[in-house]
Amino acid sequence: MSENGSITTGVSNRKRDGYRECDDPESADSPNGIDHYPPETVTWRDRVAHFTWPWFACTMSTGALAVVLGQTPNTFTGLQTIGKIFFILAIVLFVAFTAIIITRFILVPQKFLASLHHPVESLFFGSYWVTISLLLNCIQLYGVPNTGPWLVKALEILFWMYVAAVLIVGIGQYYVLFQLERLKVNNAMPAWYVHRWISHHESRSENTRLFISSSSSSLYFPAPLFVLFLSSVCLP
Amino acid sequence: MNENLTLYRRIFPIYPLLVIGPLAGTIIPSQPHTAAVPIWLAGVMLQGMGWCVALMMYAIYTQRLMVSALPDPSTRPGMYVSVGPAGYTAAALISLGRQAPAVFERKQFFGITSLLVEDVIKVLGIMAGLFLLLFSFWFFCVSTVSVIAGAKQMSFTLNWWAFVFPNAGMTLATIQAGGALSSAGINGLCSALTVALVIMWFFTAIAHILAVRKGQVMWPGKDEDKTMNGIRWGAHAA
Repeated sequence: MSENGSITTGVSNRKRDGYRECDDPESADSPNGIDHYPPETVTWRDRVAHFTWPWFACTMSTGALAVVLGQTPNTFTGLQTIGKIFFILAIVLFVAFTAIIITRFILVPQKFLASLHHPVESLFFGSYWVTISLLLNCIQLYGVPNTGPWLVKALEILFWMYVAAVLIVGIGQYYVLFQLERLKVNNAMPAWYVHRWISHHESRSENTRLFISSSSSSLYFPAPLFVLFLSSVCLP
Repeated sequence: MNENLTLYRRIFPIYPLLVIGPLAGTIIPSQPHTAAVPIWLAGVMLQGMGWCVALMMYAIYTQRLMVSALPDPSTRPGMYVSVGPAGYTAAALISLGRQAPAVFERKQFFGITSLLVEDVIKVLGIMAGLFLLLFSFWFFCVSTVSVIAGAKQMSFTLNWWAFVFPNAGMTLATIQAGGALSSAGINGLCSALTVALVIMWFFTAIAHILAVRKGQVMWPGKDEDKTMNGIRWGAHAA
């Protein structure tokens, strides 16, 4: 993968190859070990690898604007059309961004879990779901008046599916956040690494891979219970 | 990492729950009675859950603002994120309250027969929503002043989209308040807010496109994922 990655080549780049910041716990405060500055030239492939969750703040804003335009008072002819344009734009952007972020995770698969555990990027995972909610709003505002009763039933089902999904997200995200906070505090203490080292008897790289994936297995553990609870209470 | 940069974003993971109430309020009018009641109840309960979590995050956020400096000017538009929870919650409370009479028509509640419970719920919802509305406006003003103070040193970050979506929540709440109070003045304010949102959307969209062209975002080492543990971002990182 790295051979196709960039136009720039050179000794320093070759030196970088195979380097993992996590291989060296002592330099944890320098984000990339050797690369302290962004490179001058990159390819689109490199750029797609840095398509982050905060991009969905864009679809979220477009969807929110379409919802506001659909509900705002003092309407005039054409306002509904402007709203529909933003609704369609929100759908197009949402589909496109979803495709790009999937490409990112195909290019760098380890970024999928890492992006959900990253102290900043993971927080924006919620904006993906808010976009879905706003699109459902728009379907009601712009779609239901122009279609049959099947859409009303579909919206009811989608509402409950959305509720179940965001309960998992809302609980899982804060669980990860609380866990990350603890890791961050411990991160500042070299003793933590020593402790890990001794207790797991693992090599350096395995030790730090553990650091990345330690929370993934237990990540969404409590969530299915809540979904079961909710569905038993609310659904007829 | 500067601790300041992340604090308002901690409200973010609860956002998907905070928009359930407005979503319920929008879809209920078309739903048949048997479907509308559970959606209404879920809307209120989940909005309450989201709001309580958001309120605790508000406490941490304001506490950090008290003891340390404002965020970096470029990420300062992200402070608008704090406008959203109160705005969307106020919109949900007023909207769900206004629909209570239709949803709970001729239904007996808690064995009460001396008064119309659905009307009491309506009044409660509208009052609670109005009570919260200016709380989001307060955060809006604080964020606006902070953004203006740092406007000259600002460069595009994805946080700029917070110019639109949280303020859209506040606008939705204002729209609901205008409808509940049947006030032409508030409705005029809603129109002005809507126009402002459209302008801010275009402003942010243009800034976003320019930033992508100039390589200020979506570039190795410039995005949120540059500090990702164990994943390099330099040349050859992809």
